[in-house]
Amino acid sequence: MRTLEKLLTSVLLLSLAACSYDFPVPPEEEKQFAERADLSKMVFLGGTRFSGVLDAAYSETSMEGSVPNLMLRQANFVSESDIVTPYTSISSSFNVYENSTLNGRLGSYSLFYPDIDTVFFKRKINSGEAFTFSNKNADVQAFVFPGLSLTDFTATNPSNTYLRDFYPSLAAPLIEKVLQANPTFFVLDAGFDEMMNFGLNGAAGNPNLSDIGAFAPNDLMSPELFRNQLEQVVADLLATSAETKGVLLNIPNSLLNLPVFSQVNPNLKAYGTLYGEGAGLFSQLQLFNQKLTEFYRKNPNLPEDQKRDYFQFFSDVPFWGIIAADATLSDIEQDGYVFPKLRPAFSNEYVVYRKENQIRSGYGSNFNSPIPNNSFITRAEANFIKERIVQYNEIIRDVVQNSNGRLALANVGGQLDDLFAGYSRELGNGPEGVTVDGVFYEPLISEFGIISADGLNFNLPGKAIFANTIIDEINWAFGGNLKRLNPNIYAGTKFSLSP
Amino acid sequence: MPLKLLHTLRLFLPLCLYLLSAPLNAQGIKGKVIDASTKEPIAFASITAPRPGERRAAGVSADENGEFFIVVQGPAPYFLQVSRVGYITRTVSYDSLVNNAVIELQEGSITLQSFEISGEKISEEELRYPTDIIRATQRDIQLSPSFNHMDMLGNLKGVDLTTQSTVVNSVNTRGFNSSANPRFRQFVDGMDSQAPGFGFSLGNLIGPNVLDIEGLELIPGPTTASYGPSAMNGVLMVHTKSPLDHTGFSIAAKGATIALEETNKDFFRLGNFISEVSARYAVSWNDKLGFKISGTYLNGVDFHARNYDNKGPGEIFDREYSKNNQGVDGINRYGDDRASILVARKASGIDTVFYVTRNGIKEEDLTDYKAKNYKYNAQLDYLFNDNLKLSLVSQYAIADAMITNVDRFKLKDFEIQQHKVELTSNTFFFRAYMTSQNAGNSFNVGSLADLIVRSAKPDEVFVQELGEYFSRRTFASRDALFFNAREFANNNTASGYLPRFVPGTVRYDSLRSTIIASNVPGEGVGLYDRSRLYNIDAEYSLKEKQEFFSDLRFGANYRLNDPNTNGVAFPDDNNNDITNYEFGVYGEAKRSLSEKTELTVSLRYDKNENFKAKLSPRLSAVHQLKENHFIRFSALRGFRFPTVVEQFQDQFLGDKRVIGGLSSIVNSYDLENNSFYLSGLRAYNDIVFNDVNFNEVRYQTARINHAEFMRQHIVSEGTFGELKPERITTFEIGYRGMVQDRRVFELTIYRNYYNNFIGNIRLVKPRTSPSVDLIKAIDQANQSGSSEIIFVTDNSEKQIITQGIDFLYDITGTSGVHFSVNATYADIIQDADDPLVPGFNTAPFKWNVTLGHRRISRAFGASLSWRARTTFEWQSPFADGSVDDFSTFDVQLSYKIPEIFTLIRLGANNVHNIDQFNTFGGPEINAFYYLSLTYDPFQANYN
Repeated sequence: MRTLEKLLTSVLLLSLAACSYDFPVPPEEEKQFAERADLSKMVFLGGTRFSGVLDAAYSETSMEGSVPNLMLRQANFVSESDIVTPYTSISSSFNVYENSTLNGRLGSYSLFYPDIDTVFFKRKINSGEAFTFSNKNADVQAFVFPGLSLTDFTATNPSNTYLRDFYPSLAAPLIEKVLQANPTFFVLDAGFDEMMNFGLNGAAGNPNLSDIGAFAPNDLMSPELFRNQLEQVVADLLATSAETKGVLLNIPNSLLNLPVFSQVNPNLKAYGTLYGEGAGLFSQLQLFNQKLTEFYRKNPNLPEDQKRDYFQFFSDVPFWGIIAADATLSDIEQDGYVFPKLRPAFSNEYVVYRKENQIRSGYGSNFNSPIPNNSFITRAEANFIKERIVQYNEIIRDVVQNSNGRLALANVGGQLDDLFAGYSRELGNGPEGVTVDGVFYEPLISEFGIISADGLNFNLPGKAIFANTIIDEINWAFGGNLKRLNPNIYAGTKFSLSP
Repeated sequence: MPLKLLHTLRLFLPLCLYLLSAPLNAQGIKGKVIDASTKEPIAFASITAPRPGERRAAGVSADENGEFFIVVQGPAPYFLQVSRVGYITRTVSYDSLVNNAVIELQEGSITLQSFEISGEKISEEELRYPTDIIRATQRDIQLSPSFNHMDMLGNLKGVDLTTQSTVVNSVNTRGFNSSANPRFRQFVDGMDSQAPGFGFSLGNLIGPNVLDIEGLELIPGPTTASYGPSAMNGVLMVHTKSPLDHTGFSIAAKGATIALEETNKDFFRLGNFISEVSARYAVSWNDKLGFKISGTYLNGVDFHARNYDNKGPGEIFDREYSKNNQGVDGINRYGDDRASILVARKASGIDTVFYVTRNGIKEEDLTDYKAKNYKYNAQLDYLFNDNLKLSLVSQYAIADAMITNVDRFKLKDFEIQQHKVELTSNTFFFRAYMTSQNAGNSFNVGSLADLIVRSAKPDEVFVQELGEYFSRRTFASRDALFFNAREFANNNTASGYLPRFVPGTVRYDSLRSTIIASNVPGEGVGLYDRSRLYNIDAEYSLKEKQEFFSDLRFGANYRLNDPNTNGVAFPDDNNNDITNYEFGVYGEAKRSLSEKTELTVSLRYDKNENFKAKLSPRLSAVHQLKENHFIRFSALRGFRFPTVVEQFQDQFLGDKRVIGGLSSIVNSYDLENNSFYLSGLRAYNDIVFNDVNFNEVRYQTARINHAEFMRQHIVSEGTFGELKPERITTFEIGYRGMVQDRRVFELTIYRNYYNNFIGNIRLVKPRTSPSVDLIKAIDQANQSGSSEIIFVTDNSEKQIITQGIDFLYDITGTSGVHFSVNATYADIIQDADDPLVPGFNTAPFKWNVTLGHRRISRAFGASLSWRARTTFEWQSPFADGSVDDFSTFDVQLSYKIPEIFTLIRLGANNVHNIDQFNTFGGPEINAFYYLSLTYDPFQANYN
């Protein structure tokens, strides 16, 4: 029996010794690279879409989420703590649209529902603090500033406030700084900020700038000048090395669908109930219409281009339309009543949304506070902008096609157009949007939206979706294996219940 | 014809030929047992007729007048062994068959073997057993009004019998019932019959048939010290007949019909047959070498799960979508389980918010209800000497059945086999066995529906399209609006997706077949499971080598689990072989403190590969109040290591994911700070729904307004620590007594304290972390397309207490009428703040009443049982809900023809065919009418 006991004990011990289990070690993360491009020194050149503006503002956290930072971190090209963009460490925020100088103290926009039964949200401006870059003159990989124009890369005296603040003693054009970084690969966003700046200024700038020396931030370069500037910048970048390659971004045809441009319709209510306020408005409108009738009776053969429009209003309807200031209107007078150069905003015109927060103070709905010319876009101007976008995109495509395969085109414009498919403000149809891993996103300011509170800059999920298009293009065009960003892990645009 | 069927026929053919050639006449001895002093008849004495060399034989019981008739075999002399509690056992011999034998017994004490079939009402050993114990012989099984031995268990005290299928029953006692039953262990001749891998409780799917069962022992309550750390709720041991002791051929055929009709339930109809043929053949050579083979061939129909009551929001009778309920979730309709919320605006401009679910698919459209169970076991025994025996055992079963686990599963060609080698002597045993299974063509029925539904279009698109339809139309005609909206969302293809797959169409059948054929998670629902279990047990007794203790033994066991599901249920694949071992050693000592008091102390040490070692002490004392009256007390601290499933599971079920509790599994889902408690989300929705639908608050406002409430329900950092073994501390006091040798009274009171109780915590993980964006996370959590429900195995934060009382009164009248009533009360106490879902799943009150007479006349017997359960709540990963109370009658008439060793039984379970569910979401247990014919020379003596 002793032998048997020993045998049993041996079997038991052997069994114990023979078995072990370790949970598998996670495989090492695959190195990200591109077969046909050297991504080791990837630089970014661009404006608002790259700069990290969120809810109209710069802040420490918003810049963390800028597209270059997101992309390079995701690719493990930089560490999680590295900042590759110009960077501010202000913990509050600085509104890049509301502050006229960097010393302004208006902060980010935030959205709220003013009442418990309110359908549409309102916007307010938070208090902020004066702006300063905390890494001025640093060697950065992303040359990105809000509103940066293509001309700012080539001009010796750039107009962009933020660029000048970051490089206060810039002696040469910005492109020289870029080249000093020895880029092996670049991502260039050109044309979007030009179009956006022009639109945000109500298309009031020079729409066909041909002299680079006369450039003002709200001017729009002529196609010829844009081509010239783009080709010059691209040539400089590609000249860095024979192996240098890059990606250009295009401009969405649906630019004016962005929430920052509210489309006028009889009941303009896309982002706020615009209705008349102010003492005497009703009698002012009555008087205007009455005098206009008398004027037409007196001048039956008035040419069409000198006629004025009546203000349509209904005593029981709060939506009285938008009152716009239009300097092109003729000077007319009736019995001593000088007609103000005001007209109702027409359907399919656009009002720049960023003034929406002023509506309740009478902006756009009061004879004394009409929407100024630089805050709305007429139908003609809207058509002009759409046509110019097409022209710019053709130029960008030409430049890519002429690069002998050294450039690729990231169709971020087409991506936004796709997101807007089916969208109709007039009919109330929502955009088609996109679903990412079960989460629906639409290019609006909403609970599912990818647009931040400023109406034009992406929120973080939007930036991730935007960046993924660039990543996809790099992977496709240059044989890359860069990992896509997950838009679902980021916060969306926030709404609160009180101002 | 399938090869397996041919193989089956080949096995049965010789047995059938043997049966045809077997003699059909019987011979026996008739007589009377009387008291040697008083000459009064001794009622219910036990008489057996062992043949020379046989150590054990079946016997009969004398009737109330002491009269008996026993069949004897072979040539004279015939030996009869007569015993009775309180009398000295006597063996008498006869040189010829007689019909007037008078056997006198003298009063005195007797020694009882550890387990012996006898005609006694209850043995002294059972009376003085330190824990509650219930024993049943094959005779009890045959004469109880039940289709098979597992059905019979349902009538026993404190037993929760869960009928999952016509071929699979699971047994549990003392709460926490589930189809997997991780706290209850079931052994067949020492082999654990739990399926490795998925952890199904296979009940009687594998193991002996009724002809091969010698008896059953059921011990309710914790027995971890002796049977391992999982035996927290109890153990069931099935003992089979040894080929050395029970030779010969026996066969049984049964036919049953189930009342499956949905209408006219009171009307008896033949149809839906189940046929079962069992056979056993054993032979021995020189009483040294014995061999047996037994098998069962069962074919028929399974119980249907067709309860389409609504378990989702709204009323239980909302079986169809209507303007009042778009969130219908039929209990046995799948694919509609996960609800999303939708906000629509009424014509008045006021928001309305409601749940929406996908149109589900009925279970009967997803699977068939064919049931089969072919099982065989073979055993070879070799007796080295009177004290050393070697046994080689093999068991094999293949089955088709519907079972309920974490979902509804169709077992199809499910194979399981067990192989054992065992060496036993009077002082030790060594046992090694392995269990191997192959899921065959089994598949997950619930997930099948989920995949079919979502193959048409994802949830998020469906909800979006439904919402779009609402947003563009008014509520002027609500009925039409809701109907049309659902039609639109189901069939709109403009979005690039497919119309709904409708059962009965070719495209539905094609898709269904494709999904079933694949076992790639996310693409198919086939169950790949080729898991194995290896087990070694050994025990050594020092009883005879010392005198201090009346019994002293030591033992050890080792178990290796080797799950292999190819990623279906565990994160195992070719590069990741999961195994898990555990071992334990134990010792038990028994000492009599006085003539009337006996103390038992045991200590067990267990270690699992992934958990620290644990010590389980147990102390019990039995005190004899007077003759045949015993009181006992026991205190125990035991541990249960998480099962392989509880440790490693990572299974996607279509509407949810169930994961094990090991940190390496839980951490991979990054749940802390990134997920909500599901209960919290539901409470939040109730508040928001109330604000929107009754207080006319805008949804977008209400959801923000109450967002802080949800912040409290975010799974916080540190929630999931290391999974810990479950600990139980039990105190039990019991009384068992017998009066006049015919009345038994038992009372057991227990209270269990569970620490680190292992259950599941139910979470919902949105794509966006609530720590990043709370509102967005809430929105996503409320959409099935953008969140995932995850059930995580975890320990309870607080102590869980269960308590109960078992009561039994059993009497056999002088006329032979047997009456038994038992009642059970069980209760759970859990801290309301503990998010853990324990799954007590046990009726608070249970009653069983049995009335019968084994021998109304010489040939006839009859029995009737009544079972009643109160309503109780069922919680499981598959479904939660209330299981309604029920009471059913089972009846059986038996007719014995001893001359040809044959017993005919005609009976019915749930004779009134009342609606009866054992589990929420499980099948409806319908009436079961059966007729069986058993030819068994051993059984012929049972009266």
